[in-house]
Amino acid sequence: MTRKQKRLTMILGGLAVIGLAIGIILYALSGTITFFHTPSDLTATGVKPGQRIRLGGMVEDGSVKKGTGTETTFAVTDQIKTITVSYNGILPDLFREGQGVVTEGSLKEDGTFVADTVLAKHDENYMPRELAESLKEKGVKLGKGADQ
Amino acid sequence: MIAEFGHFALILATGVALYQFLVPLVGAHRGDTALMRTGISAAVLQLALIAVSFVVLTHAYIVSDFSVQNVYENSHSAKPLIYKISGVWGNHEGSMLLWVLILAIYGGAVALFGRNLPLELRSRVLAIQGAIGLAFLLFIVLTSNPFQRLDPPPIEGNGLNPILQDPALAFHPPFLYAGYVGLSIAFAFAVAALIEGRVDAAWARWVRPWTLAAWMFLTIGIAMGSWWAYYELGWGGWWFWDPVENASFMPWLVSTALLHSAIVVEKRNALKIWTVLLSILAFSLSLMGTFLVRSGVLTSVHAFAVDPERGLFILIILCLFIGGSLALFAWRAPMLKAGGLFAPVSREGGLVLNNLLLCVACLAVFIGTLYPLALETFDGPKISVGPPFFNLTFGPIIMPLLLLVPVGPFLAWKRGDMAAVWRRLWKSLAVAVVIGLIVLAVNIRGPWLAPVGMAMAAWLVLGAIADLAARIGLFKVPLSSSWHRFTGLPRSAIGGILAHGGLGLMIAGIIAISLWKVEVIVALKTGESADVGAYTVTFLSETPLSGPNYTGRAGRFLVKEGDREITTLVSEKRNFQPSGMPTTEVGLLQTLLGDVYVVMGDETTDGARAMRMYYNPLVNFIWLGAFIMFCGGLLSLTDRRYRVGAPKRAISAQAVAAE
Amino acid sequence: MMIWIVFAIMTAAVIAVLLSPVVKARPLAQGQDRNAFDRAIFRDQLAELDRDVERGAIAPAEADAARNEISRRLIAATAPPHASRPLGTPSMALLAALIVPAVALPLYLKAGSPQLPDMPLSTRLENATETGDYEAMIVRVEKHLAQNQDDVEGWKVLAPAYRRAMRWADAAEAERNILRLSGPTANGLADYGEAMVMANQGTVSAEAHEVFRKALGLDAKLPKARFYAALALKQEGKSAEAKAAFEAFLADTPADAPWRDMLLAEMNDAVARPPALDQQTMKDAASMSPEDQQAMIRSMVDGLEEKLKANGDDLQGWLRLIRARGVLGDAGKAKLAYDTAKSQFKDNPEALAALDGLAQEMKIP
Repeated sequence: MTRKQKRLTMILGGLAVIGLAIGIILYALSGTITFFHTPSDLTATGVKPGQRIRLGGMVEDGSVKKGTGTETTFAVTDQIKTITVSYNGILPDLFREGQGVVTEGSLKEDGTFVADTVLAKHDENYMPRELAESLKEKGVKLGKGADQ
Repeated sequence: MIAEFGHFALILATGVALYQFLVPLVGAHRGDTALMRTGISAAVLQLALIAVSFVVLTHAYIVSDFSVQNVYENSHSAKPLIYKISGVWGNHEGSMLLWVLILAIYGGAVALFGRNLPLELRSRVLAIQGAIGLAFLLFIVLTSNPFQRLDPPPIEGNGLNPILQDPALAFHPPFLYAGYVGLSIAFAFAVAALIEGRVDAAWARWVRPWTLAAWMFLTIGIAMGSWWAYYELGWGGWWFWDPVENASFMPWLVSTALLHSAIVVEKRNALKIWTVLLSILAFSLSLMGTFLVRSGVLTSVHAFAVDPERGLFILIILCLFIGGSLALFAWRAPMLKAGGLFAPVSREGGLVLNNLLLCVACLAVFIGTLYPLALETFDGPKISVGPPFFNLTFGPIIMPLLLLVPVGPFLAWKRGDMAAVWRRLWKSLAVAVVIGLIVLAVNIRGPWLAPVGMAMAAWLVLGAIADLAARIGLFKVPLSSSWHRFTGLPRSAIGGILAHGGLGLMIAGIIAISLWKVEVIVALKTGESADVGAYTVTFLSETPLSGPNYTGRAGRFLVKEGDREITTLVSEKRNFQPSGMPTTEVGLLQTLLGDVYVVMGDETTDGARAMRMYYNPLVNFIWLGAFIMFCGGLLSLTDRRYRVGAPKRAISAQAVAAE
Repeated sequence: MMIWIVFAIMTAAVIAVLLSPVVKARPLAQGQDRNAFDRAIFRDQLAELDRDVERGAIAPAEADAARNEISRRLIAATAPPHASRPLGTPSMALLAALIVPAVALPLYLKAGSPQLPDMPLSTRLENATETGDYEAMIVRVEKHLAQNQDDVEGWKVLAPAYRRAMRWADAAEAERNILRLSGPTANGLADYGEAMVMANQGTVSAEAHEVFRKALGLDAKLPKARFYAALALKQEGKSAEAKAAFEAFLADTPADAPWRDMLLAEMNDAVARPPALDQQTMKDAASMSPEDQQAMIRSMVDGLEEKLKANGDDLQGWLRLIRARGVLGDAGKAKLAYDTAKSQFKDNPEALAALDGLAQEMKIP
């Protein structure tokens, strides 16, 4: 192989690796991302049952019901629509009624949501960014001076 | 008075940083040795001044001087001393001060131990360090001043987030920052080389140890963070592909690549332009890591400073340094002469492939981290990119690299001989395959990745051993001369072997916990038990708990293996005062083969308690592997090679990163 | 002044250290030639190669190739050194050093607080008495009491201190301890009850009412106890009894008593409890038909609500509003006000407790 050929093989090989990797990345992006919804746009966008999504909102006051064992159901609301979420597992430390929550899972045929992951805010000031923005768009004011 | 003294020292440091940025640069340009030398004293001064202000702030924390707003907001007189100290950097302002302190330590180290560097190069490196320092010092003084005072002072502080009151987390930021900031040296060297238009042999010798130091601290810092998440958050996981984790992982990937390409520059005078580019990229990513955490732009469970004004300031810093250095690169890089040639199959070729794969893996992480943000900026749908994406992309990209790791050290420089490599490695490969087959046989219904992953882990460890054996001619020459060769091995060689072996152990841990983790979620009343892996966990009792600044409930659990009682674990739910913040303390039985992990949850309606229990096989291999990698880096750093290089060998200053 | 001298010395020291290389600058004895650095490294590489060969770590053929390459580079690095450049003029470095104070001084003037002394907690507590540092004194006594819970003198110091600092819950606790340690006195009971009322945002709880009754049992004429006992009756909705109690109290009150005005205000207020009305409005209201009266009260309550919307930090206002809505039978609006107030004070546990207490009392879900 001449010097030029050598260089060419190496460059082509390198490009092939990069191309392949980008292919994988694009494929993964189309297949593995989960969309974030609030209860009201969940119905608006027509998410099919079984599709994996993230559902975020506030835990409605008085909606948390402990079932037998480790089952819990609660309602997630964005003040416009409310969706009942059932979850089997241990709720995070900071899960509280009236606080922001993000759950991951899928809708059932009957319109309730089955979550396998529940994330609560990490500290006093933290609210999932997408949640804060979604709620703001819908005119739900957050924090001090909120008068519904 | 003391507080203001520290404040003034910090502000003086800002002035000195401006001097350190401008004067050595002018001096190097004009060939004025006196001016260049003042750059050295400026770097030392900057270190001294920032150290003074850091000590003063720490003092204010220790004596609970609540007239300093930062102390009032983040400390409490009743806090244990160690958390008063770690509270200094447990908040935004203090952590930025720590950041510049570490920057100044690195700058001071170059100034003090850089006598084997040409003066011009040293001045330019220090000038770039000065520029970085200046930007961050201005950021601190103008937007995040830890010496803001309160008048009248409150009598008691606001305390510290209880979740942060933890030894692993207390000391994880200093290590992580030492890693992030250490990459600034490689960056400064790269920019200096671009300004000069030449890459010396001395340049290559110097970039590598600094990158090594940064890499080492990043490794241990990331490992500590992951360990903290594992036992403090109580989710049983050790890595969440959380944006903040990714922000530290990306510089790690690129600095790993840099570490390897710098070898080629030093040994073969090749890949110079690429190495300069990598240095710029590595530091850019660590700046971005700082930015992502500080501005809270990303959805993250860690973000603790949500402040757009600061974010804007850092964004400007980011654009200035990344944009500026990349522009300089585009302009000046063609001036750097290409170096030695090599065949595709050669040590250099292997290292190029290593770099390629590491950078592509970093790209995958980068896209996964920033894509949701980019999409949202353009008003697209809100999405989250989670572990499935990273497992699907990062895994396949990194796997060929892991396969090649043991091969690399056996390839000769310039032109490698695959047959020779095969002769030396086929035994290791065979043993690894056998191990894979055994795993397959034991675990015939398990996921296909288990045997493959375990074989790969074994391949890495055995490859490292084979490397050592070949270098000392084990069983080929008499044992005594093997020993002689071993003692004569350069420490950097042993360091490399350790790092590759440690990587293997880590992979074993990762594969095991990912595929064989046992998770049990169950509601238990006292006296009831649940099976977790080979263990039986019995819920013995629940008692009220009261600590110095918290109250809560403690559950006791008896762990049995068969009929043998192993130990009693305690898992706690704590409620911290005055914030009322709840935390969970995990009950953890650690063994080398796996952990039993018990978390107590809420009460259920029928009076039982929800429990989450895990059996995490081989999980400690992850941190053990990381620690071995850290040790490998440390050993490499002490290599005598980094201590030579001054003309006439007049000076043998240590070229070791100050800690 | 002192601090500026220190800063001046610091600055001078920094400039001195900065410029020290200029002063003692000497021509570089070595290393002027950059290639010398490279040559040193190449020589070291050759030496390392030799060691490797000696140890047998590298094949002789490979070693030769490597040696050739390094030697080539070594030869290439023997270019003649640059002509040595002149040393710079010290004046330039001196001028440049002025950058430091030029940056530092304006920055410090902007960000610093040179007039503020340090306030370490321990010295602050030690010197509390001398400096008249009230908060620090309280903490000192608190620390003492944490060890000696039965030191009545300590509680007697703390109780008025807490009152002055408006820490009513703590004050109530202190008064309770005084009663525990020195036995019930009419005054002590009245003070305890008053602290409880204040901690409860002005509402006399049943427990507090009982305390005032006990106080009156010891001293039937004790003004404070009489006042709060009457207030309790008023708040419990027993208007007639409250009126009687207030009037009896007023009859015993000398014209120059400091509490006379307050008493009069509460007395008049007792007639139409929800929102507190001024006397003129009260007179007007008295001459209205019951429907008009209701309408007026409603409009005033609405006015109060508007005010709270503009300035929501007024907890007392919210409590009044919720109570008023409840009394007027507007359960929905009471709930709304309660919810709004709750989100308003969500970071203030004391306020939340007060709100919740009121909600329970008013039976708001």
